[in-house]
Amino acid sequence: MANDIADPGPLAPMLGRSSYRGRADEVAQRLEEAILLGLLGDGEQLPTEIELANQFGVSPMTLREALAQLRERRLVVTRRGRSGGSFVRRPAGPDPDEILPRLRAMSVTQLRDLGDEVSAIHVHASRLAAGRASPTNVRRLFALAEQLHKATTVRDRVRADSRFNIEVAMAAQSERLTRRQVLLQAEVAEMLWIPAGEELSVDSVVERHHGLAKAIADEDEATAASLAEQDVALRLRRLIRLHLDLTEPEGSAR
Amino acid sequence: MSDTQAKTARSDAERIGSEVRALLAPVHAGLEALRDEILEAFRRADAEGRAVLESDLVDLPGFFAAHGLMEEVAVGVGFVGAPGAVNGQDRYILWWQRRGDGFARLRLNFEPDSVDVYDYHEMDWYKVAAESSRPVLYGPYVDYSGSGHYVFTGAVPVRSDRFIGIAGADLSVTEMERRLTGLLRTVGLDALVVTGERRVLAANTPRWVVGSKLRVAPAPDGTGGTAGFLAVVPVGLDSDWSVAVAAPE
Repeated sequence: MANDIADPGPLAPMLGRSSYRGRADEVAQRLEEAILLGLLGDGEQLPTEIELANQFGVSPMTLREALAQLRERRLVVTRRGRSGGSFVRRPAGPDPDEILPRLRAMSVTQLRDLGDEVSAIHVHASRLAAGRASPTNVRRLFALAEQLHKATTVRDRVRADSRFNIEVAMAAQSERLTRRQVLLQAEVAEMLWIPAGEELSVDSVVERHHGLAKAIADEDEATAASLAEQDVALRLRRLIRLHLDLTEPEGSAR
Repeated sequence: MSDTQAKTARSDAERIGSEVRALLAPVHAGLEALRDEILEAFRRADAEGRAVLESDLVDLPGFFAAHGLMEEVAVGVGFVGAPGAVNGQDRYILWWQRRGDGFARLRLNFEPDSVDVYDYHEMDWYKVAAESSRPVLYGPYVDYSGSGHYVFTGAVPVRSDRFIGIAGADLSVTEMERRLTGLLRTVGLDALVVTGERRVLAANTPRWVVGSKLRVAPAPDGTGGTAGFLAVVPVGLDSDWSVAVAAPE
């Protein structure tokens, strides 16, 4: 158990490059990634503000500002008193009250643009992965597809689905694509799995994940890229459909 | 292909092979020394008839000595326990990462039912070391859920009458590549270092892209054709790397 380990420097893996120093929103972003990736578990206590500030190389003021941002995003709760401190609060699953208004507010053009970015990262990562994946990457891709198949809650589906996409970027052997994919997944994964409108079919996503994992295993770059492209297009379709349903005026023809 | 060129390729490949071996030797030595210290800690606890605790291990000088031996190549050095080895925990990891002038402990998510669980029991560097009881040098791979870097992991099994775990180190791909490229630059012909999974680690030419895989494992084809290699020499010492030399395109 992670909590059994007394740990002076738990956040080292998230600290990354020194160019991240000094900015509250960047610190907040690194912590958010760590939480969304599960490097920091639900309910886990963060080190003290002083320790954290030291580890990130920022002033306590900047760190407090970063924590405030995370509290606002409801990723961290701070309790006062003797057993007080800041604790990780992993989202229980997509929150329709937060996501549906966001989806309604976006234009189709903005959604398509988001799809373009996901496509640029994921399709190319898939192509590269087919040329570069290690046997471990391949095994993990199949395992994550299986995890999605077995997931019983929306939250676990979001996690397994986004971990699959992140693993593709890892299989491409690219730190940068991996980082981009982590951020994109934080933005889109919950929107995709939100239980609203026409349900996203788990089986069909699992099937597509299997197909992509197999193309990567077969070192078939063209098929991997084309499957990834289809997958992104299908996801975008769902989001546009949801958006149109949400913004449909009363009494419209459709 | 001239005989002279083939001969040059052969001697270059052998020279670079032994230099790469020398580059890896401190990793090997550092991890073996750490393994011996861990074994000693387990023997002491066994002799006292008690289980090994984190306090027996946390300050072993071997962690930091290994860091020192590998200078900036090592981004982390640690011990990964077999199930039940330390504090009776199913999973135990004690991993020191370089952080500025000092070191920081790595913490990972071990909640067993979490989708994100960092399950090193399933990772190749652990499995190979655990099952075959020989040292491995695994990678490179993007260790995003672990150390957060693009790394190799070197792992030496720790074994008494039972398997205790592995002594390991994460090595920076960037730093390793720099050193390998430096060595390859001394070769007049086209040369690269490639792993057993055909992945290019470093080359003295843009002809092969680092990180990508060769379509087929390099083997001297003896034809001297531009696609072929003139000489291929295995590096050895825990690695499945080879040095390969080809005629310029």
